[in-house]
Amino acid sequence: MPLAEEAIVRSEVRWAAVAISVMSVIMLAIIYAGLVHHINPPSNIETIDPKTLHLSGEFTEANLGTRVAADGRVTSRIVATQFTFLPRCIVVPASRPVTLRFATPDVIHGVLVTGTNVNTMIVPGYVSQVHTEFTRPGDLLMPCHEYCGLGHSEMMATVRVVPPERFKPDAQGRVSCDAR
Amino acid sequence: MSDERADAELERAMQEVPRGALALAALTVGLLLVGWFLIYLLVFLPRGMVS
Repeated sequence: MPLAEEAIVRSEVRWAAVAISVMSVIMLAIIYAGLVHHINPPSNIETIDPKTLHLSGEFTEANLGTRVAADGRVTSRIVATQFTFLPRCIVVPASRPVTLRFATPDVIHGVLVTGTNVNTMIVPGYVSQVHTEFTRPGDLLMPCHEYCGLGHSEMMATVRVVPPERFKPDAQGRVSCDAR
Repeated sequence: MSDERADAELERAMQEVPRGALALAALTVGLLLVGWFLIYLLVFLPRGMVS
């Protein structure tokens, strides 16, 4: 091999080593976040019939919003539809595990909650589920982040994070923005 | 110029490793990595648990 070619191969091998090291460091950081801080991409495979979503089962109108189960688990159910969220405001407690469940009867939507790691797609036919814990009280914006039609830019909701002592479910275990 | 002479000159020129380009590439990748870790440590981790 000519000297020049040797020099080129040597520098390319060194550069490949740098690239592999950078990728390894980033992969390790992602694995660390997943294992130690429990920050993982939401993964939930659960089907639901989008045609009958509003008629029976979990996502009927009376069942939407935040509810505290008998065992103390906090779950918020939200329907994303062109071009609103139902309900448009949910109340959740700070510093306590919360499960957000989303479904849609029409097209693909997506949500993120500003200032948090909550971010998921909402696909017709599936229930999207995110487990999280909100750290600070306050009103957080939850916009649709997947273009879903002409009214997409108006599609947003509020996540009201309240201090644990102000999170007071009613007799049915429900908590809503109107009640406060 | 004969082919032999041209090859020899090319060989000599190619032996000069482009140090400036390597330094620029290293600096760029280094800055990207620093930026990635700043967002990871100051934004991503403090935002907390999600799964």
